[in-house]
Amino acid sequence: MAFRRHLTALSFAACFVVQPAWGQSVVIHDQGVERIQHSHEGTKPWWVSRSDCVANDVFTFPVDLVDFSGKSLEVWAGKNCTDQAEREGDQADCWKVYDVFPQLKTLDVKVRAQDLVAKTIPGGKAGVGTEADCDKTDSPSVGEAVTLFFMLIDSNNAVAGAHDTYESGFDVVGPAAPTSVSAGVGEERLIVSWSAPSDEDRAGYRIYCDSGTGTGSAPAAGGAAGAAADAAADAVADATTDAAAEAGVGGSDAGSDGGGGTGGSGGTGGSGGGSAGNPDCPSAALTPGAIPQAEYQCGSADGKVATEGTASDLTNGVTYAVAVATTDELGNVGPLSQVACGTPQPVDDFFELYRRAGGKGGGGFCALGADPSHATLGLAAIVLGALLVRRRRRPA
Amino acid sequence: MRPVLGAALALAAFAWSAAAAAQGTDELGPYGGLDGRHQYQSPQDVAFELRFGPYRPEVDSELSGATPFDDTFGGDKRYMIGLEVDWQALRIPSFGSFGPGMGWGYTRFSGDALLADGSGGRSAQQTTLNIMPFYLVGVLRVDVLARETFVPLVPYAKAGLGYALWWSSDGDGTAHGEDGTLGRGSSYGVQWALGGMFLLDIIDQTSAVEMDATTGVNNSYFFLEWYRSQLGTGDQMKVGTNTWMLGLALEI
Repeated sequence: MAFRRHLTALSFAACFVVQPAWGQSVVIHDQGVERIQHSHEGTKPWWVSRSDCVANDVFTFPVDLVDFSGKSLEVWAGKNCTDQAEREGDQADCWKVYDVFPQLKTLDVKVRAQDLVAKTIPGGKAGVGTEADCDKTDSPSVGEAVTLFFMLIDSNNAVAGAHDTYESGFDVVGPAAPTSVSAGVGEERLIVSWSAPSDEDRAGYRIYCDSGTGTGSAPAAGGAAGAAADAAADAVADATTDAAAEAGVGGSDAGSDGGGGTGGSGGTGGSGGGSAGNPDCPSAALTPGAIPQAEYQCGSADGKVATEGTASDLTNGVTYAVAVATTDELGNVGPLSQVACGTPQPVDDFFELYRRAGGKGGGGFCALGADPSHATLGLAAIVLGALLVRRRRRPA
Repeated sequence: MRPVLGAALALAAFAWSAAAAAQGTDELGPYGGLDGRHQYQSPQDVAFELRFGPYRPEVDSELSGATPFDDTFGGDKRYMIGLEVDWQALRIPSFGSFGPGMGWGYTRFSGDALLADGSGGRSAQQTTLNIMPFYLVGVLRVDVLARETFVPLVPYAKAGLGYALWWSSDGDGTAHGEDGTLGRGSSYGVQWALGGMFLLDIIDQTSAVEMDATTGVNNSYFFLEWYRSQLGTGDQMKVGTNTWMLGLALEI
C-alpha cells in the first residue's frame, strides 16, 4: 500500500519535471496576425500582390510555443511541409521563409513577402528574397496558393510536436491583355471596347491614353515581327476606330506602313516590329505587351465581363493612342493590349439637338433625384403593396 | 383645357357617387355568390394590369420641322412596360363597373449621338431619353356580357390625367443644353384609352374557379387597347403618344 502511494506520488511529480514529447507545440494567434500593407478584399485577403512584394510587405504572426527547448522554430511555405522529403532533397517542394532558436514561449514571427515570392528551393531562408523576385513571370497569372507551416524542428531535422498552419498565397503576375481593342469617338472622350481574355482571376480593366508624338517604334519594313510582338500582331489586325471610319474621315486600310488617311485611322497597325504600337498614333509610352505606366491611365471598367469603358478628360481634335490592360483581384496589372487610335470630337446628344431646334422643355423636376427610376419603382411597389394589404385585411 | 375639365369632372363624379352594395359574406358564407354562369365567385373590386406596348413620344411635333428625336433615335420601335391598378368602386348592376385607376409606365430610348460637324455621322457616345408616365383615370368596364352571357368580352374606356417624368443623358450623366439647361423635366396632360378584354377563364373554367377559391383571383383577361396621351403643355416637352397596349389583367 505504501509502495503504491509512493509510486503515485512519483508519477505525479514526474509530470512537472519531465514533459512528455506530445506536449511540444506551436500555436498561432489568428486574431493577432497583421501585415504592413492592407489586406485584400475578396477571397484572397492574405495573399501577396506585386505591389505588396515591391513594398516589402511583412506579415507578423504572434505565436505561443510549448516545450521548445533545444529546437528551432521554422516557417516553411508549400503544400505538405511537415514531410521532411518536401523540405530536403531533390524532390523538395517547400521553401523556408523564417527560422529562429526561440528564447521565449511567446514571440512575433515576421515573414517577408519577398521571401514568400522568391520560392527559393532549396536553400530558402529569411531575407533571401529581393525586389527583383517581384517581377518573376514564371508563375501562373492566377497565382499560387501556399500554406505556411509553423513547426518546431529538432536536431534531426524532424518536426517535433504539433505544428500550426496559415493559408496565404502570392500572385505577382497580371492577367493577359484584352484583344480586339477599338476606340470610338466621343466628346472629350473615347469609347473603348475590347474582347476579354480568358484568365479566371481577372477583375477589371484599365485604359491608358497617350497623345504624345514620341518616337514609338515604327514597324519594320516588310512586317518582320519580333517575338514580343507576335501575339500583339495577331490581335492588332482588329484594331479599328469605328466612328472615324463611319464618318468618312480618312481611315487607312491594313498595311505595314499604315499609310494614308486623314484624321482617324483604321485597319491594322503595329504589324511587325519588336515593340511597335500603332503607326497612325505612335506612342513611346504605350507598348503592346509591356506593363503600363500608371500616369497614362485615363479610364477603367470594373468587372471581369466588362467589354467597354470610357477614356475621359481628353481634348477634342487630338489623336490619342489607346490601349487596355487587365487587372486581377489583387490589383496586379497585366500587359498592354495592342494600341488603337482615336480622336475625340464634339457630338450633339439628343437634348442639345432638342434645345437647339427650339424645344423648351427641361430644367429639372422636383422631389426626385437625378435618376428617379429606382426611387419611383420603389414608390410604385409600396403603393401596390399597400393596396394588396388593404385588400387582404378586408373582413371576409 | 376642355379635355382637362372633362376628365376632372369625371373623376369628381366618381368621388361623389355612392358605392354599390359591396360583395361580402353573411352567416351563409360569401354572398358575392354565383356569377351568371352559376359558378362560385369571391368578392371582387380590384383589377391589376400588366401592360406592354410600343411607345414613340411626340417630341418632334412641337418643333417646326426639326426632328431631333427621329434624327437621334431613329424610327426603330421602342416599348413601354407598365402597371395599372383599378378600384372597381361602383358596380352598376347588369352593366359593369366604374372606378378610379392609377398607372405607371417606363420606356427608354438610346442611340449613338450625332457628330457635331454636321456630317450626319454617328459617334460612339450614347445618348438616352427616359420617360416615366404616371396617370390617374376613371375606368368604365362593361362586363355584363362576360358575367351574364357566354360572350367572354369586356369592353372598357378610360380617361384622366397623366404626368410624366423624363430625363436625358449624354453618356456621362444628365445632359445639358448649350445654355446649361438641365436635360430633365416633367410633362402633364390628359389621356384616354379604349379597349377590350378577353376573359381567359373560359379556357379552363374549373381551374378558374379553383384559382378564385384559393387565391381570390376572380378573373383573368388578355386585353388590347388603343391608348392616347397628350403630355406636355406650354414649355413642356411633348412626351405623350398615340399607340396601342396589350397585356394581362387580373380581377381580385
